[in-house]
Amino acid sequence: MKLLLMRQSEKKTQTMLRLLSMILAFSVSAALTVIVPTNSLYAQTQKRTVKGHVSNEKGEAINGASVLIKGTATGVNTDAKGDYSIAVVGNSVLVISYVGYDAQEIRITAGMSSADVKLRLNDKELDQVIVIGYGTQRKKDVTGSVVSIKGETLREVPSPNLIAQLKGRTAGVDIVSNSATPGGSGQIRIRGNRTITSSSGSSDALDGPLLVVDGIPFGGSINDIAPDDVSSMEILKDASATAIYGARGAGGVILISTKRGRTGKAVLSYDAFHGISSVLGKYNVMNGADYSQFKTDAANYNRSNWPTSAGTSSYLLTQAEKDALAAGVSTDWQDLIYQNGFTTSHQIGLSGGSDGTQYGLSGGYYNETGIIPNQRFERYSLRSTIDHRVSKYVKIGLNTINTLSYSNTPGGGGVPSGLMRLTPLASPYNTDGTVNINPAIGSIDAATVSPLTLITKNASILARNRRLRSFNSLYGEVQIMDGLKYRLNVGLDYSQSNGNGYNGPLTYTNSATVQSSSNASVSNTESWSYNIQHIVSYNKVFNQKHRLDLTGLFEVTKDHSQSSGFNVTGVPADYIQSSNFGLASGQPTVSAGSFSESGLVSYMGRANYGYDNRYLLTATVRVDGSSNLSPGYQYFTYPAFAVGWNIANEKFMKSVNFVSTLKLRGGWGISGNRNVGAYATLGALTASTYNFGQSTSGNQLAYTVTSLANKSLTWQSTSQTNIGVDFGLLKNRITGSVEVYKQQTKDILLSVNLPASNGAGSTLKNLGKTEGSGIEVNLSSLNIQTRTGFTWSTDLNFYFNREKITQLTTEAEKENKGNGWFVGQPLSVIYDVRKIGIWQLSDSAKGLLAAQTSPLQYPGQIRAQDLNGDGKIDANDRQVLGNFQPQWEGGITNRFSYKGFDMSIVIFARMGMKVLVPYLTADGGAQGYPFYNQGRVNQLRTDYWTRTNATDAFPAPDAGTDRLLFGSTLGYQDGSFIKCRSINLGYEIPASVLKKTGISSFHFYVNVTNPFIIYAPFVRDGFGPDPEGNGYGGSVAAAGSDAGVPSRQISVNANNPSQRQFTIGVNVKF
Amino acid sequence: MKRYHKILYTTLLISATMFMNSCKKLLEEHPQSSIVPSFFNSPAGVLGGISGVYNDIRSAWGTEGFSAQMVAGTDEHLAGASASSLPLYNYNGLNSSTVEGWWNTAYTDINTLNGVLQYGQSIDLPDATRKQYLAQAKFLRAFWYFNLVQFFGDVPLHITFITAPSQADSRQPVADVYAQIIKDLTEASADLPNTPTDPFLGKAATKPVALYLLAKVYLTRGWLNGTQTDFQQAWTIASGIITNKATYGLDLWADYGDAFVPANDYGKETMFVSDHSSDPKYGQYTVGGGAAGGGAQNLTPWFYIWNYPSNSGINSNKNGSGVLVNSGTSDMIRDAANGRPFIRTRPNSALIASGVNAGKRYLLDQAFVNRVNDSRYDNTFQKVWISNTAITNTAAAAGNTRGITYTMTPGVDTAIWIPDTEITGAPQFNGTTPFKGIIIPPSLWSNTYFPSVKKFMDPSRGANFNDPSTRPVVIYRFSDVYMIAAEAYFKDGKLTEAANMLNAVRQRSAFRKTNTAAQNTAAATALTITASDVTLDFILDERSREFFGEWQRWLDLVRTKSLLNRVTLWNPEAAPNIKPFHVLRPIPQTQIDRVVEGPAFPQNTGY
Repeated sequence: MKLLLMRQSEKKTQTMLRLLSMILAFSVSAALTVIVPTNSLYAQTQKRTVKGHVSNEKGEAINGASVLIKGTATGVNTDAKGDYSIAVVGNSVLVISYVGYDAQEIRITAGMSSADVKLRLNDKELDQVIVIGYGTQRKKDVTGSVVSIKGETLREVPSPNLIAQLKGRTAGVDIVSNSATPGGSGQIRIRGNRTITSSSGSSDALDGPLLVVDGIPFGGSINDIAPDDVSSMEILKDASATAIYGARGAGGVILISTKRGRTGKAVLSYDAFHGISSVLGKYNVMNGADYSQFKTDAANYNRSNWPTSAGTSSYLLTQAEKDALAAGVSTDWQDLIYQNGFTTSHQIGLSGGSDGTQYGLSGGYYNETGIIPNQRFERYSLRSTIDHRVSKYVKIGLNTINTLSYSNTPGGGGVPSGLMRLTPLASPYNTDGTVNINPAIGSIDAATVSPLTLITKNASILARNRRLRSFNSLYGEVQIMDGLKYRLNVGLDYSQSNGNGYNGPLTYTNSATVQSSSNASVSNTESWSYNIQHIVSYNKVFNQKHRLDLTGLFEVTKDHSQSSGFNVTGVPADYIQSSNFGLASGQPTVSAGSFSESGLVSYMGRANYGYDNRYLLTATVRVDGSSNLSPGYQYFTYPAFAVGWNIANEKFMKSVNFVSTLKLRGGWGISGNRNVGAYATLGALTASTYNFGQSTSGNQLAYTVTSLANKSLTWQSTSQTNIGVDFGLLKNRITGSVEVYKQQTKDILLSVNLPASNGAGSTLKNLGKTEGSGIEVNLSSLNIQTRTGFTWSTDLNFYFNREKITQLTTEAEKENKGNGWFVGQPLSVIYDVRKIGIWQLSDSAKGLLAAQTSPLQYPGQIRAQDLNGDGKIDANDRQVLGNFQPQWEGGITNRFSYKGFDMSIVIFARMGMKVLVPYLTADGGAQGYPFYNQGRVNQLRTDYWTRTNATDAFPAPDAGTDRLLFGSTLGYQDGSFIKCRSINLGYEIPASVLKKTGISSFHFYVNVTNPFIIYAPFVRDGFGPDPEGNGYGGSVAAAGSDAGVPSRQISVNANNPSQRQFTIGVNVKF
Repeated sequence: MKRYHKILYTTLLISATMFMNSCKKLLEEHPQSSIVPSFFNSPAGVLGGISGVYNDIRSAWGTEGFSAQMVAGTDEHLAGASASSLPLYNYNGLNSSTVEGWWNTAYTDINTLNGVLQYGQSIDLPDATRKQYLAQAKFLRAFWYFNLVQFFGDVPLHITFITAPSQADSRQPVADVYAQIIKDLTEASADLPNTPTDPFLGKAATKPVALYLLAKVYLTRGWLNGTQTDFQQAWTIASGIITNKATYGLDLWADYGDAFVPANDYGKETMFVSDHSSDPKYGQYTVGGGAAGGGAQNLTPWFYIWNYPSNSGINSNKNGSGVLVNSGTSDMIRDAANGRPFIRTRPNSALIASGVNAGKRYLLDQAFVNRVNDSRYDNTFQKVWISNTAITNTAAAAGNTRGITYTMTPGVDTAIWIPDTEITGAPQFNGTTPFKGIIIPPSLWSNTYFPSVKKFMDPSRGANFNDPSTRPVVIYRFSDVYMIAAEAYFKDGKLTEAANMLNAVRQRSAFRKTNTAAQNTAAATALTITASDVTLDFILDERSREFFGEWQRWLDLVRTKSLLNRVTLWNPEAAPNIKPFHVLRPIPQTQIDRVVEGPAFPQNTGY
């Protein structure tokens, strides 16, 4: 599949690869100049022969094992007796490897002439211990659906945060970008959406996963964790694994473990990269000549009062534009504004420790500038960990992660939409070289300020957010008796963010001309939370066959957040920005403040039982009590159990040689969502004001009861059944897992309308139900391993999820058109009339056009399907046109290594879903504003209808209307894509070379992230640079009906386009 | 080892006890950034609840849809060219979607007041304050129920605070609703102060306001059931208010026009208002009439204004069908003095084609037939627009039939004259004299051309003439006390007393500041009536003259069982559609749809 698809865009790929190889060649030659002289020091030593025998764990000889001198291409294979003989020079390291076994290194010191090696079966994958909720477990004992990803794997994609790194890397974890401003992370969903809601915010909060860092729940921005500090990530996907997180587990749980100190000599490490990013592509807008033609066509097809309106337009070229056209001016505003972004990351770490104490320290700096001037994200991080064994029985440790981040995003994501619509028939600069401040002068959009002010007046625009976060986890562990442990985890989390905004007059973000219309804002948010866990665990193996693991937990959590904000107008001078409201001419106004506190009290018990490494049983129960619910309804129980069968360990499998591991798992559980917000069960009064009489003494605050609280609200909960198979074939050369799951969510909060006579219009009730199911496949294979040291391995994942609404407020309610909810359909669908083409002149001749009685239409306009055949196109002709759920998704990572070189290529795909593109539609308002719109502004270049171009793609422009009839239908496009996520090429300088430099390892690499798109019809058709998404919602409503797509949906807006990034980096250890 | 065990156990024990205690606390909620219902249980909450209801009242009185409900579809008013909710004017397809808004508001307020009354009993307040708060709440609850029962008939009757959501409800008999209203008003009138008292300043509810409403309730129930005792109660209470008017600080202005001067908005004739102000917070005022103020804006002055800046072309002329056609440049631009033209509602001056009233116009030939002695027509309608922009009209200009070239002098020349009698030569000649502006006599009136109601105009808008008015909306005016008494006496067969009450109102309306004392006396004498003149139609015509446009007419006609009759006689736009069932408004469909538990919620007959 992959190869097939690669062929489709071979040309593009080859260009990219050529570029890449040039960069590589340059880097390698640069590196060699450093290496060669060092290497010559060792060349003087004498040659001698080393002999040895290679055997397996049972002592049997291994025939054909590779024996290689590390850092060279010199090597031999063992013979049938497992013996080898090789000539070495000086102090060398031999690498002995064989398929299915762990490679071993042996240092050959002076005087050594023989080295026998016993290789160990490579069961690293299955013998490894992984982190699960409130503890760890041997991977082979795991019964739930848990994926473990190493930090190194994630770091193959240089990104500001973990979520961006995880994209396309594992089955069932769907990450879609939702912004291309610096620091953006993307929307993450594990096994789809579950919650019926119309807001993207609550969808993220309820359907997104719970993050847990070092055992402590981690709320807030993922940008507060420097990816370099992460050692591994475990993703709990099914309910049998997430139920122990109870009311927070339904969206899946991501457990993040940060690096800790290790016993041994102190290791100093330095990791750094520097990157350049540029837009993946521009929005393909018209040039000056096309724009002029478009305006003429818009006038020609003015249908407002047809035919007398033909040829008329209020938005024909201005005199200045005509002059510019004659002079050959055609300004590409995107070219003038988009710039290269730079990314810098430095991280210094020190770790080490004695038997009693281990420590780790790290400091990092990350800086990313965007493709829009002055947009940046900057992070300073400082982390330290200490683990100390007080005695044989007591151990304590602390991990403190502190980050300070700044983001400044003037113009936000929306700058490109302004660039797209600004006339190309205007010079960006005046003849004296100054910025032409009002390029659209003389037109109706004369007040538009040049986007170049983003650069020239950068001190007059500020949109900065400063965030300080301190995330601390402390533990104490006591070995009470053999197998019985008590552990106390304490998490303390504090964050504070401070927003400062300023828009000076005559800037791109503020078209006002007077200083009194400048505006400034400040906002503050403070959050803290604590989490205290008491964990008692008992772990024992009886009679060598019965492995028992019991865990008991008592946990309390409290979250607090508080915010305030103020705005003012009339800042006297730009340099003051938001620093002193007292100087402003306007009265400061208050944005609503907020305060929220919630508490959670939890009890959990878990039993793992394994018999003879064959039969596994896990049972958990968690009880969560929450302050968000009313007394009497506060506690909710989340049970789960799972069984596993290690079939490979059965006697009857001993003869099946090609199967190394085989495990069948099955589990069921319930996990929840904290869908009831703090204070939601208390109800709220609507606050207002009144003046009794007209003197200030009569001013009173006023309140009315407008909503009635439902005290019996409870959590939304998801029950999920999961069946999985883990397997390892050919001595674990091929490993993988297949998962099948089905989940049912109930008690989704929906608003129920009440008879107004009861005093309020609505209340919330737990009524909605949804279902989801899917299949996930993860595969890893070692494709080639030659004795010359060349390896090629592949990680592959493939998955799909099918979600649907099964109930709205009542059994009888099959649809809620206003919100776009339909029973039996996915949670976000397109509900609109269907475009079946463009009305052609021939249709008019045939009388087809006249057969449609309403609305009156003309050739060149969008033809919609008359679903009910009543000759009218209206709200009754709307139908479900599609959805945003991919038919399948997948990712493939190929890794190659040869001697010191390593290379990885990550490719991922989302296929078979629609994408919403608001900028291809038109509603005269903010949503579809750039498009058509009376021919008033510049447009995306489209194949539009004219009398001589009988296309069915896009309608004729019309100077008589700012909203095309059925224009909303143009915004639904095929969103499928296959993208190359990153290509990473690295080189590890041989240890022998580094020996006397004090450097223990030196790795450097070049990387390109988002190098190219392999397949995307959306890009092929010229609709935009990337179908993946860079904003939310924006669906246009057909006249008189509801928006065609719920606003929670990720969409491709005229926002910052996604970026391609070239990076060069080093990893050094001392 | 032992030492550690000791430490461990102690730690465990301490932390265990600590956590058990803190657990309970952890699960308690203490909101800080929103107002929760329990806040009612405090003096500020109770006061805020009352203020909230007053704020809701201003979201009805003074707003477009509500104003139309109170005056449209009557003998007094017809639709203007830009009228919204046409079914209210012509009863064609009238359904529930036109009334929904304030049904919801009324019940939100009633429940809020039920909360106020519940908590107001128990909170710690000085007795006098408690008495005042509770009396306000009872008055307001009666106020809303009285409106509901008049508009909808049987309605749900809730007098306890509802805190649990329910999808069931039922309509209670009108008699029960009236009994509750009378109980509330009786109690409120006993406890409310004689004059506005802090914190309910301005013209909030007072004792005479509660008594006034009580009198009107008795009068209305009397009409409904034909019970004589109710009429007796009504005139007893009303005449009591008149007797004690000095105590209450109430009286009629000598000049009818003075009742509508902005300076007198809180004067002696004003009883009860919904307040507005230019304070951006408490008055919810935004320059430019932005949406922030929402429905709580007073747009009253504008609904009755025709489009004088756009439709007053200086060379307008009659076409072949005798219809005035706009032509030429207008010499009027929109300004604060003449108001923002909304063109929603026009006075009923339709020429009746046939029947007993054939050839008559309600406005000129029935309600305001006596415009010489009675000052109320001149005090209600704007007839003259003085040019406020200079234009030159050449003799050669298209449509100029005057034969002269001239320039209008702003502030001096009359741009538009809408006389109440026919003028020969109109629109461009007064007789044979060329008129510099245009003349629009009754024969040229239409839904585009009509005299504006000027009672509510707010010239204080200044340059921001598109801003909403900050004048209060006067809901009850003292002259209505006389009118209630008159109607009650009439229904009780006491025609002399009825005539006396009507004369008090009529004699005042004879007064003009421009007249000499003798002229005023003569006019008063001319307007004086005797017992034999008192009929129901006379009373209704009198109410039309006195309260034109003042949110009374539809209810007046319904109360007096005259809606069908008077609309059929006088309103040619509504007459073809009006049916007997239209005396009640339709129950909002959402109310019916949302009652899904228990018995279904019935719609009013006919809808």
